[in-house]
Amino acid sequence: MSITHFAEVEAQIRQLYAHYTDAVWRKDPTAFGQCFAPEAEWRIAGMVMHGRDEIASGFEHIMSNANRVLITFGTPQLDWREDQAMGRIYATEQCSWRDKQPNMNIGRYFERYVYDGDRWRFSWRLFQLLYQGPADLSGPHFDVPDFGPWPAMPPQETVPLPSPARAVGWPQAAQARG
Amino acid sequence: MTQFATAEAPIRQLYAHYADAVWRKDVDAIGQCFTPDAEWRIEGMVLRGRSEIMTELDRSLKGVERTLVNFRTPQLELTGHRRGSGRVYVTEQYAWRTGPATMTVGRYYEYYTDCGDRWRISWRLVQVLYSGPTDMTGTFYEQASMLP
Repeated sequence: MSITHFAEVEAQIRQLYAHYTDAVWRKDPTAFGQCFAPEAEWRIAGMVMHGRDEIASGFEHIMSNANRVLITFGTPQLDWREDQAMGRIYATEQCSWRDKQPNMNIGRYFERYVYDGDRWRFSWRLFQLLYQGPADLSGPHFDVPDFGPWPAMPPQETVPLPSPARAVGWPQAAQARG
Repeated sequence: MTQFATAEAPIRQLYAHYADAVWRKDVDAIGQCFTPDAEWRIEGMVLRGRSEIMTELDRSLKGVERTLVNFRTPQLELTGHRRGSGRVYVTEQYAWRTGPATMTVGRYYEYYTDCGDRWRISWRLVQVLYSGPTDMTGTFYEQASMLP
């Protein structure tokens, strides 16, 4: 791998996270969907969402109950081959809701990315919820599978455990499929 | 500029590996972030060599449920062929097995070496700037301010 090219790919993938964070704050399902490849898969809270349209719909549904969500991504650990890449990243989500107290999530994403001509997009994402509760970390931490040090990745068919707080309100159409 | 970017990206990868390893409490993976002869100066201690660093980390992580480390963007200087120095601000949020969560704000001064497969830390000095509750109502420490 050319290290010069790695730096370029890494910068572009960080742009993807910047686009994503902006779309979430603005609650913009179209911009959110554009972060995913048309055939992307998003595995989160016991669900598997297939395709950009289903992902954008699921996002719109959950954000309808949110005032605002501020996501802060760490630096992704990345590996890259030609027009495909994979990564692991930690994120905190500070959530303000319409009908309940604000909370903070800490999560870990395992991801695959694809370059489809104009920008990098997610082609596969698995979300592990690591913490959910007050911002002072006094809430519950969750035991989730540890797939080992980078660059280990989970099997692509992995379905993350459902989290009651995350699963509530998500559209039935997005429930995990066999 | 290209030379800088090609060093800056892998040094940020180094921080990503470090934060992941600390969350996962994987002492071997943390050790891989340091050169075999690295030196880590922290809280009155001078830890010499990767194995001594790993031993101390193994001890200190035992009381922790989880630690979330957030590195800010490092200020970097390339100091020679495959070598660099840097300064980075860090928050560490600790969820303890017993007792309330705490947070530190720290400043790391570091030297790095490109070992071929990845960049590693060869020297690290930690200054603790704040320690206490996560809402910053705790204690701030005056530390020797190094030159800009």
